[in-house]
Amino acid sequence: MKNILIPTVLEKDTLASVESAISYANGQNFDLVLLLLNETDNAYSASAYLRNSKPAFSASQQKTLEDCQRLALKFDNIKLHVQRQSSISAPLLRNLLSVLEIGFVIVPKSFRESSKKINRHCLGLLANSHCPILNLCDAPTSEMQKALYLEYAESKLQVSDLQQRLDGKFAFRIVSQARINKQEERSLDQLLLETITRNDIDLLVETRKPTKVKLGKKFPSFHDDLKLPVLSVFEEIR
Amino acid sequence: MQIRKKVAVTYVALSGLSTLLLCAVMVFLFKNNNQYYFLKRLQDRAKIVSSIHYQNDPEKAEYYRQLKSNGLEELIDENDFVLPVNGKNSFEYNTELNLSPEFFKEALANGSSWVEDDSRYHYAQLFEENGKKYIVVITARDRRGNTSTMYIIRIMAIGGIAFLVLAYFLGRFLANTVLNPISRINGEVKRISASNLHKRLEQPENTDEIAVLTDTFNDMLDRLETSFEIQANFINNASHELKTPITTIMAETEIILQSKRSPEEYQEALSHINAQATKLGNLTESLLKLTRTGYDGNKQVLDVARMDELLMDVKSDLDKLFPDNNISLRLDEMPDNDEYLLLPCNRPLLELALSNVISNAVKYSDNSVVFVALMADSKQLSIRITDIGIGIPKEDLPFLYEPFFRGKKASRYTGYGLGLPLAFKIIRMHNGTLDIQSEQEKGTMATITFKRSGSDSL
Repeated sequence: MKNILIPTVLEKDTLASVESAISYANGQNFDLVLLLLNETDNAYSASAYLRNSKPAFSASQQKTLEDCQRLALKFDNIKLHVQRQSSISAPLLRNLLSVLEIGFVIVPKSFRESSKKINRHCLGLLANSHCPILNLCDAPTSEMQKALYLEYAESKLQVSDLQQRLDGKFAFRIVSQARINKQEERSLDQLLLETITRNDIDLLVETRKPTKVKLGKKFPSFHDDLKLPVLSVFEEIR
Repeated sequence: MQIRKKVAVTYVALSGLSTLLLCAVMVFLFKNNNQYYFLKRLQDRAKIVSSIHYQNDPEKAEYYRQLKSNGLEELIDENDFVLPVNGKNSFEYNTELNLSPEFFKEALANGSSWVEDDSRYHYAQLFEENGKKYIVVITARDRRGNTSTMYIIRIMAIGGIAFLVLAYFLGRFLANTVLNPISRINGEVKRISASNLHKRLEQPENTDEIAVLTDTFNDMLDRLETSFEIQANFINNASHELKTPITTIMAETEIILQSKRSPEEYQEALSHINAQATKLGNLTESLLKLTRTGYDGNKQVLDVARMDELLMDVKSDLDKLFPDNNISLRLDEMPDNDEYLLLPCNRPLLELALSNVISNAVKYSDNSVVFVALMADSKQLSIRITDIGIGIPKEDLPFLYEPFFRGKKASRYTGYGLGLPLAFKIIRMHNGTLDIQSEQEKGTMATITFKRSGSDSL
């Protein structure tokens, strides 16, 4: 099995991400990599950079890290690593994912909402990687059984193709599908909420296509209101 | 303002503007061209005058004079002046010439200059011979150039007005050509009313915007007709179909209320009433569902169902309704890939459609064997329902999907003629097809196919 990457700002929800990763692994051996990104100031020399950089964690961050380590220690099949990066770029991330043999990325909500430029840049770069990305919500359930597929109008991936692609990697089953038109996505909110309640859906699945990484104003996604984790699967442009 | 007039006026305005622009450019270029050639002639004369002036030999000078007067075309009011240059900025001025100092300055600086004053041209050129400089000034009137410019302006003005008149008629012709198909559609649509909703607009052979508009109108008429038909059928047939159970219920209650009855009699009467009320309920529900199938399917959130599971659910429901049925679910042609069995659908409605088709097969074959086969591959998913029942007469086949239609042979079986039309609508709503092949007294084969190409959603 390939390893799991969790980009994090070491907020409390990192622990939930680790739990999700453990649940996903289902007893198989894997390495869990916590990716910590630091923004660095410009320095005129290496020694000045070392003097100015602040690698120390705050008390709450330290506690979260210890909790994660404690949780990982309970399982023999998991090895927890902490990867610290002071800069990130597309080739750097690509090589990092390749070297660490990452096959799945779990993004905690706190990281997604982080206003740090480097974190947002990293999210944009991750979205262009081929790894499936699980965007967690506030209170994710560790067991994900039933999924709702959000099929965007421009997507070419049909539900059977998607299920085929995901089979063997994930335990959930797609039980509902909604065709989403970007212009009218809000009009479906009520219908989606009804379907989620009726079919006990605990995961949303969507596809994403490579896009240009932009660091502009972040608009809230329509599925933030649905309060469910979203699994984003990379779709090749054909 | 009518669109017809708007198109004509816009056409006239645009053509007028473009013609005006073209005329202006042509007049400008024509005038420039005239000027260029006239100055060229003045330049030739200046060179000859310079040669005459510098010939020491009187014979040669005479020769040049002859060449100038006989060899070159005569100019009107032609005059030439030779002004020797004394210093850097001074020369011998001729008082006959009434020209601005700038004119001479430019000639001294650039070697030549010209100026036009009421169609009279003055051309000056600087010459140098044996270290001596002098300015030759040639003046002449270009009456012909001016006249021809005026002439061409007149032609263009008259032509322009004539063209505008022509453009008006052409614009009207264009507006008529463009709008006639719309007027035709308008006329045809006006003729369609609630009483003749079956009429359709004539479909043009090409695939232009008018054909698309016609198509859209026809689609809208399809939907309107269906909706009217359902309403009309509901009103016309509800009295017939719903009257029977209601009358039975009323008669049953009247009889039972006439005198005191034993508890067994009450129980029997109530069970009859219950059966009739259930029938009534089912019928109204079927009708309501039939009207609902006209909804906009694109805005649906769909269930992703596995077809084999769905068929098993349908079979288990039918087992309760027809305990003696002989449905054989054949899943031996199943694909290796389970994902091919997935279909985004409205599960309750699709279940109802399949249930209707299979229950028809059970009903009209008197509980003899009914095969339900499921086949799926990467391109399509199909369900084949085969029975060895009474079959459908050929003459009934075109009316199978009409609500409340009951075949001659089918009249001895209970039913309302609503099941198959409803199933057909639901299947069509899922981008599927329902194909029925039948031979009388031999059996019927219904094939439901869902294509997987492109978009598989509703």
